[in-house]
Amino acid sequence: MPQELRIVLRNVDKIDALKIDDYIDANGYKPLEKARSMPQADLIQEIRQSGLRGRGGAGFNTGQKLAFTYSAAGDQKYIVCNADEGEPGTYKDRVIMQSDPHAVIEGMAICGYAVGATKGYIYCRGEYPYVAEILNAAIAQAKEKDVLGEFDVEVCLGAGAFVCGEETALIESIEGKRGEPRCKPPYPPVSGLWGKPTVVANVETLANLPQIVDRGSGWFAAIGAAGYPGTKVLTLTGDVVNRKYIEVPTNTTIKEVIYEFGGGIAGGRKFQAVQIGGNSGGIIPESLLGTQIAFDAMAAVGATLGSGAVFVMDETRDLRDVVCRMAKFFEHESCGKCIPCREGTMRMFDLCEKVGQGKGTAADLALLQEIGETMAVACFCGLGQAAPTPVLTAIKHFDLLAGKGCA
Amino acid sequence: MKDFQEEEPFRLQADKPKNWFQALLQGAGGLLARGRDAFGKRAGHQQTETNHGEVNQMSNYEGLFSEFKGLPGGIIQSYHTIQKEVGYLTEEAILAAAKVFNVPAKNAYEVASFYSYFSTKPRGKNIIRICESAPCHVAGANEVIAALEQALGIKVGDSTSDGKFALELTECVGQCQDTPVITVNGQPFGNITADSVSEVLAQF
Amino acid sequence: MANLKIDGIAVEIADGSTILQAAQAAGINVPTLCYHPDQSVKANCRICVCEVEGQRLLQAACSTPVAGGMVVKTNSAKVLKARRLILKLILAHHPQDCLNCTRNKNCELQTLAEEYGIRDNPFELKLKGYAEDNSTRAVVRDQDKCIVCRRCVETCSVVQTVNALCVEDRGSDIMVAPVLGKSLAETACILCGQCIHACPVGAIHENEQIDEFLAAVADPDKIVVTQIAPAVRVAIGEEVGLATGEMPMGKFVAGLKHIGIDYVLHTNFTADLTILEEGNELLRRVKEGGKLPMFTSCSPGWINFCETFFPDLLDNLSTCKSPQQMFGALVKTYWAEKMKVDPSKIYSVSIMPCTAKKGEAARPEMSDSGFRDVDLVLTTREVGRLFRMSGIDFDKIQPGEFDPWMGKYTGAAVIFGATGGVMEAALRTVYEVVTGETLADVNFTAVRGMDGIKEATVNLAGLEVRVAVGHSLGNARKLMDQVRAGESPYHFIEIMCCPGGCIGGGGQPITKCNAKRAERIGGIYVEDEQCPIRKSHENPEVKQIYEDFLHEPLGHKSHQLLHTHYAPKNKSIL
Ligand SMILES: Cc1cc2nc3c(=O)[nH]c(=O)nc-3n(C[C@H](O)[C@H](O)[C@H](O)COP(=O)(O)O)c2cc1C
Ligand code: SF4
Ligand code: SF4
Ligand code: SF4
Ligand code: FES
Ligand code: FES
Repeated sequence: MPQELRIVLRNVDKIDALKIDDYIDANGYKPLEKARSMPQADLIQEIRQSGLRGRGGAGFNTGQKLAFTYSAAGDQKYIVCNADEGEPGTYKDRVIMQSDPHAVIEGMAICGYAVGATKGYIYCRGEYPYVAEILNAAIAQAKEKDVLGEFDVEVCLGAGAFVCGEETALIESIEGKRGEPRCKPPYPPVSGLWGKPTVVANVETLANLPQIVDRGSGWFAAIGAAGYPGTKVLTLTGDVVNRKYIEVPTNTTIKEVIYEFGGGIAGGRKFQAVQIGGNSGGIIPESLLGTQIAFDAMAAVGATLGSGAVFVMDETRDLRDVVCRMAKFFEHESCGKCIPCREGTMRMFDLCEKVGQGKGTAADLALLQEIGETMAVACFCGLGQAAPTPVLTAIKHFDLLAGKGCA
Repeated sequence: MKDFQEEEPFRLQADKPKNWFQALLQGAGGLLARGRDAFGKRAGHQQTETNHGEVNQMSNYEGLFSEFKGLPGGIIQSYHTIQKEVGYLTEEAILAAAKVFNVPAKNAYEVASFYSYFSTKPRGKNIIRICESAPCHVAGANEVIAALEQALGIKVGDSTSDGKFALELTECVGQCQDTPVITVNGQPFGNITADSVSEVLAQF
Repeated sequence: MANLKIDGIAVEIADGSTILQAAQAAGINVPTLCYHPDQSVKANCRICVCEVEGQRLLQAACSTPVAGGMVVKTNSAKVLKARRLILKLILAHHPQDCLNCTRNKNCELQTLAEEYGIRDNPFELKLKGYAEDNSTRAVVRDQDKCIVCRRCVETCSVVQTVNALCVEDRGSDIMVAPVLGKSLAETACILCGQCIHACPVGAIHENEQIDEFLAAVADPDKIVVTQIAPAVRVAIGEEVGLATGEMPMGKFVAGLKHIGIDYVLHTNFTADLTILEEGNELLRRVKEGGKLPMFTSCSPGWINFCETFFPDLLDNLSTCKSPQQMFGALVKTYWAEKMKVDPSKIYSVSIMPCTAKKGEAARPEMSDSGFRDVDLVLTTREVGRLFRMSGIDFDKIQPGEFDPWMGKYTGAAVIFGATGGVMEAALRTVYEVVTGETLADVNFTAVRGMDGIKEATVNLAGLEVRVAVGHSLGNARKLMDQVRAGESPYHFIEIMCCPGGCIGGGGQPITKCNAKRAERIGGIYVEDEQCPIRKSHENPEVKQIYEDFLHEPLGHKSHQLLHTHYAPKNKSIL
């Protein structure tokens, strides 16, 4: 029986999130002290060697990102915590922030020291005003205790836009603008918030950092899958017995996640499909359940790890209806800046609706495929590039014309 | 002969001149303002007279904004504050924001119209949002929508005539352990069923 | 320098260039829609995507910087497939209305649809069905045709700093529209029509008044008299298949007579007159301590801008009407008298490079002749259409001549069409009037050219006069902010609303880029050089009108007919 391994969730139910002393008693803010005793380059090297890769979806080596920002020229640099968590079925960042806000703040302060940034922003999605309150309280306590030194953190509340999870759109939003992504290059480590070198990192990524600094890169690198070491927080939704969150090493298989941790399919029904990584993730058939929940392993089967949402559908679900719902998500959340995404998400939703009503034809699926393939390579940002994934994978692995229960 | 353009399903207004001959025939007589109404233009949204705040003067708005004045990028945070007070972003509020943050009205409006949590039209005081993302969808969001529409006597996108409730759809609000989920004024309520809807409403 | 390969062709190009620039250097045309050579990179249409070896995603040529060793394919199967689909997606959201469109045969989208052989479209045609916004007298927006490239928004907010247009909403609801959901007339829009030039399609166009013109020429009771603005000749050729600058004035006059105009006169005449009035006004202000710096007042878009954004500086504006309106006031008084015609029968049509002129002619106060001074304003583009409609072959047509009394002009009037021209014309006259000497060189080149703000100092018999010239309202704003702050060192400032001056006006043949504007400016100075007389005060007809009618600059008659005043616009959405 595989076990959970709690690194970022280590303090859940153990400490009172609103008491900084609890956090300090649990070894909190000591890693920050340790980090500050190291030369910046050594600290960055340590983080790089841990193999930690971003938990926000893109899977970029965090130490590498810090190195870029460190070497970029700038009188002012920023650390931005991406707490926009918008992928449907995902709430792991909320759990981390609600149960252990100081871990995130400490992670930011470590990054701040590493790259020479004295200011951090937590961009908290507008759906989480109650989390923003916790964060603000935690920041106030940290300031009072003077554990952050010269590093200052501020919380920005989003206002309902999934695309603001994209790092450059997020930066625009912090700047008080429409949350539309910017042209890349330049990337944030070179020119980010107000044109200054900026680290944008996910909540979960940041919450790992104190532990890595504390216990060393070797310890972290040895956990889970080699190319994507550590743990991943997953949120189980849909037709599983246990709809809950877990933190497991990244070499855990999807099957273990659903059947060991999730308790299997609810109501004794049969498995049909699982979507991992939120609405942008691929829809995975039974045959691929042996895949590990690591970045490269998922990519190898044409899926994504993404946010770590695990949305399970049993045999009774009409996949066409679910896929149509997913298409509508993107139609609603496209920022509308670029044509293939703005028009493509709208047309995909139209066609999915038709297919969902059982009126679809082979030509409709071919057209969906054609739009999807173009969007995947031609859209301006990751939203549009990933938007066709559920539809394309559903077409690939299932027979959408025949209706439910097909494989 | 039937007018082919009027058959287009999405052509809502028939008074558009069909071509330049007609546009010219309207000539000077056509020089009346025929702009859209920003505050009620989306299909399915009805206008309510609701305006539950007393903050109507530009100066009051500027007072509300002042807290954010020096804050770079503070316009979004200040819009949250205005919405808490007034329920939506009035034209005056947007113009006041432009002044306080020293940007053209264009920029202030572009921001206001982008985010789904901001509304530029009047709506009910308590904003109910139903999550319809896939996990909530399969858990029965449609039944919740139907139950709420019935309980409130309005359709999604509308507000009750007493100005008490507004009903909106949303994507995932990050409470997916308890699907289906609704929020009222940002506060989540999980495991909602057609029956439990009235209990939630009773709290407001 | 970076060395790369595009479609197998080796290209060497400066670092920091884009794939698009490299392709152009290699002689390969990559399609674009949102790209505009004078604007920031938007990369939102994605029509320019290309394949770059080693990259999974296609890369937008307009936004992707080149790198050494890059291997680019601009026309692979994958690229063409993506571009064709994107075009179909756009077209399925666009009225299939080319035959009725002002941009028919001059539309970037239409051209691409043709080039990419789009014959059928799997997508159902979806239109939002917005009514045309014809709330202003000058500029009409056809929302349904907008492809949301945002070029007009950048023009309006960055070039003109008017901020009348915005990007509204998001996702498939997104649109480019006047701010706050208003009609254009309710915004600060100053009617410059620059957004028309920016637009790749027919979503914005002039308020077309060809039918009114045709009705007037068909009416036997109307005497149709026309004036041609200084900037029109150099551009009108572009409308009838000639090169920029290549329309001889005589043939232009003949063409106008051919479309039914009874008398052809020239705004250049009143441009010369403006110099005498405005030059004297400047001298008076300098001598008598009037408000300085004085601003020129011939550009109605600029007047709208000043009334809207700088109402506190209205007293700095010259009280001179624009040449169009001076002409309008005189044609129904002085000219009618000279020609012994009934002024009530005169239908005065002006041919302008400008959309804002349509608004200016309609101003209530512009009726000092006792009638509407200017009855109809046609843009260069509309006159081009009339020429094409009438089937005139400009190669073969015999040149015609201007009618008397208000048709003679000097090189000084010609250069009114280019930025810096009014200033240069004024300096030519003021210098000679003040010093009593003949100018050795009439060319004041310091105020010429496409630089946003130009300045010069001229010594007038010991009096140092500092002048500045700004074109496009973004530059005007800079100069005005200086004045407002009390830091302006100038005596006299020329402002033209449109980039390049009137040759780049909102009514000119569609002018995508500043390079075209520079080309037209070149044509203007060639014409100036060719004029036998190049100083306004030497225009014989101008001398005549002062002798017979006006008597003196700034005199009683002038005051009545040629000068005006301005009032704040009190707009709330700025
Ligand atoms: C449409 C879109 C939405 C995204 N949403 C999130 C999000 O909610 N949270 C997040 O951390 N990263 C999100 N990302 C990824 C970010 O752009 C970025 O890669 C990430 O914040 C970097 O942090 P990491 O390296 O720690 O993962 C999103 C990307 C895209 C394209
Ligand atoms: S804008 Fe272009 S494509 Fe559209 S109707 Fe006009 S000419 Fe045709
Ligand atoms: S006419 Fe000029 S001011 Fe008006 S919207 Fe167009 S660019 Fe802006
Ligand atoms: S009106 Fe024209 S220029 Fe403006 S966004 Fe639309 S298509 Fe582009
Ligand atoms: S899917 Fe509804 S709250 Fe997450
Ligand atoms: S021209 Fe490059 S994306 Fe539009």
